[in-house]
This record gives sequence, structure tokens and C-alpha cells, in this order.
Amino acid sequence: MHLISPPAILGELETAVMERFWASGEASVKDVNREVGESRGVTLNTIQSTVKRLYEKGLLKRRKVSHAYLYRPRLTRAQFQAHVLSEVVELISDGASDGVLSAFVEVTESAGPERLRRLEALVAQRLEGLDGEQGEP
Amino acid sequence: MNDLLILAMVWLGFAVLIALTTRALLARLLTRLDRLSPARRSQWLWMICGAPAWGGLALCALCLTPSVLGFIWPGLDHCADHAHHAHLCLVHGTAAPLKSVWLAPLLLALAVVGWRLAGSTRQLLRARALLAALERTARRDAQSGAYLLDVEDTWAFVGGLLRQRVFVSNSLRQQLSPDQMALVLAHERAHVSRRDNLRRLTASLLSSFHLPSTRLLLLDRLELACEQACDDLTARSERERLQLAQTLLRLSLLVEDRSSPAAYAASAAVGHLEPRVQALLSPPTRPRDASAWSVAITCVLIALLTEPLHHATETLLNLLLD
Repeated sequence: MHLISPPAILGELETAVMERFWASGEASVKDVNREVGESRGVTLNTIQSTVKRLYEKGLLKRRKVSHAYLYRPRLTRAQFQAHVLSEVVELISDGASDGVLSAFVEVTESAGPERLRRLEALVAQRLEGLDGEQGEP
Repeated sequence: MNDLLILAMVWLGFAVLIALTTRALLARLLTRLDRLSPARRSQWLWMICGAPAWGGLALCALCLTPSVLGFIWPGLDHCADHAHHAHLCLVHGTAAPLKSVWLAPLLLALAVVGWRLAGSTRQLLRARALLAALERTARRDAQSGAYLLDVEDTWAFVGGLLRQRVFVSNSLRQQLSPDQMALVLAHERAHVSRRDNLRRLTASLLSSFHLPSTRLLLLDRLELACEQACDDLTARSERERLQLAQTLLRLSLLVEDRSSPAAYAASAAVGHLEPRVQALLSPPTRPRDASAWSVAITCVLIALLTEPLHHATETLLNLLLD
């Protein structure tokens, strides 16, 4: 993927257009207008500029077939959501919440996998004990 | 304008004083707070986070109380008795110009406060737009009301400040049992009902007046208290508490690679794992309410302190402005 950093924030119409591409794959501007624009009372020109904007933002790729372009998504919905989430995390780690940063440090430093497994075994033992108590007449 | 700047100086002075006092008493304070229930502890920690900011304002207001009383009952007005030095009076003004030597650092301090507020507002607006983008592309689970994300990593979090939404990744749903998932959702809904995002954001902003090390420690403890308070709301019986502990451990083991941004956040979700699990293995702490006596004693102390505080501040101000 040669995409460096697509924008994580999309407008309502942009999201609707992306939803169309995620659901049904490759399409021309006319197809998108028929499926998204007409029901919303949006003109072909608006859809055309929205699709072009998404292409310029790096969210769509295109290929030319005779005189028209066919567009398809560059990112899956999951990849796009992962990208938005990474921006949220970046925003948080940028100082909006230092508590989150401390939590991360603590987990990595003090709770190694072995310690976690020991704790898990302890909890399982306590749960079994509870089941045993309830099973007794 | 001069009076406002002098009041700002008094406010900042009190804020610094409270921040330094908090630093000096921090270890004792935290030990005492550890005896409280997580819900009560989170309330106290939030107040301590903001103590320099709101405490400074409260002390400013207390200093101005005699002038307000003098305005209501002119017989109590005592400004004429000490016309020789600066006043803290809403009626007659401060009667002392702010020296240029104090003006520059004061304006700088106010600019720093303003800059931080503007930066946080920018971050907040961006976070809001990002969450809206996430919400628009997520599917809503009709049963739980949570927004489902298609991402591969394990996620469960609450987004938003006033309109809060629970986001959960499908991969998390696939890796946990229905009972464990119900506990995760109940925990996130507890964050919603407690408005923890708002609590954390305001604490983060207001704690800017504390020393950096104090601030980090307070925010870290607040985070733990919020998580534990939600654990208490989620799991009430012994069995539920053990099941929640098991779910937390399971979640943390799912996050193997802690270097990716998603893992970073997921590990935050299970942050403070050991103290949370240890607390879940014990019965919940019973909350202790503040007695009517302690409230009454505080009120009497405030009433007794008003006059001395007013005069001490005026004297100090006079030394600085003279």
C-alpha cells in the first residue's frame, strides 16, 4: 500500500460514498450517483467532486475504462477504522490523558505473561472453590 | 483592568501554594485515599487534581468576602481603616497599580494557561470528529447498543464526553465468551453512567497547575480509581468479581504485541491490571460518608479564616506592589 496517511475524518456524504464502495466494490461516478446521490437528492456534480476528493485524499484508487474512470476503495472498512483508532490513540498519547500513558507503562513493566498466568490460575482456583461450595449438600 | 490583573495574580499565587502543599502532603494523602471505596476515591482525586485551580478561586472569593459583606452592611466596611495599603475590595478597588516587574511574568503565566486551554480545545474537537467518523462507519449492535468495529485488534472503550458511546471490536467479541463480553459491556456502561471521560478530561486540564510529577501520579491514581469503581459497579457478587478478574486477565493476555497503537490502547483498557485483579479477589470496600460534624467543622474553619486570610493576602500584596 503506497498510502502514507489518509485523512481519518470524513464528512457524511463522503462516508456514504465510501460505504457504497465497501459494500459493492468498483464503480463509476454515475453508479455511485444512482445508488447514493439520487436517494439523497444530490446532483451528479456533487457526487463527482466527492469521489474526486476521496481519490485525492488517497481513500480511493481508479483505473480508466474507455472514457470513464472506475473507482475502488484503497482501504477496507477495517483498515480505515484501524487508522482512525490509531489517530485517536495518537491524540490521547499527545498529552490529552497522561493517565493512559502511565497505565501502559505499568502493564508492560510489571505484569509479564508469567505473572498474568499465575494470577489467572489463582482466579480459576477461587472460582472452582466457589463452585465446590455451592455443589456441596 | 488593573484590579483584574491583581486578582489573577492572587489566584495564581494561591494555586502555586496549593500545588506545593499537595506535593508535600501527597504520600500521606494517597495512603489515606487508599482506604476509601474506589468511587469515593475517584471523587477525591478529581478534587485534588483541580485543587490549585478551583482552590485558588475559592481562596480568592474568600479574600473578597469582607468587601462583599461591607457592601451589604456598610457598617462592616473597613477599607478606610487601612487606606495606606493595597485592598482586596470589590467596592473600592485595589488602590494600587500593578508594577511592570510583575506584569510580564503574570501575563506569561496567563498566556500559558490560555495556550494550554486552546490546545486542549483543538484536541477535543479533533477527537470529536474522529469519533464521529468511527461511529458513521461502525455497525450498531441492536441488543447492546454498542458500536461494532471491524478492526482486527481487541478494543472496548467509551467515546465522547456528553454523548457517550461504547465501541467494541468484533475480534474482541469473537475471543471472549458471551458472559465475559457481557461483563466487558457492563464495565464500559459503568464508565458511561459515571461520566468518566468528562471526569478524566477535566482532571487532566485542571491538574496543569500541579508539579508535573504530582500531576502524573494523581492522574494515574484517578485512572485506577475510575476503573476499580466501574469494576465494583459491574461485578457485585463474589462470583461476578472473580469472573471479571478472569476476563481482565484474558484480555491482557490477548494483547501480546504491545508496540502497536491499538495494543497501546488495549493495554490501557486493562491498565493497572494487578491492583484491579487483587481488589476483585477481595470483597468491595464499604464507602464511608463524610459526617455532618466534619462538614460543620469545615464551615466554621472557613468562617474563622476569612478575616485573617483577607488581611494576610492584603499585607503580602502590599509588600509586592509597594
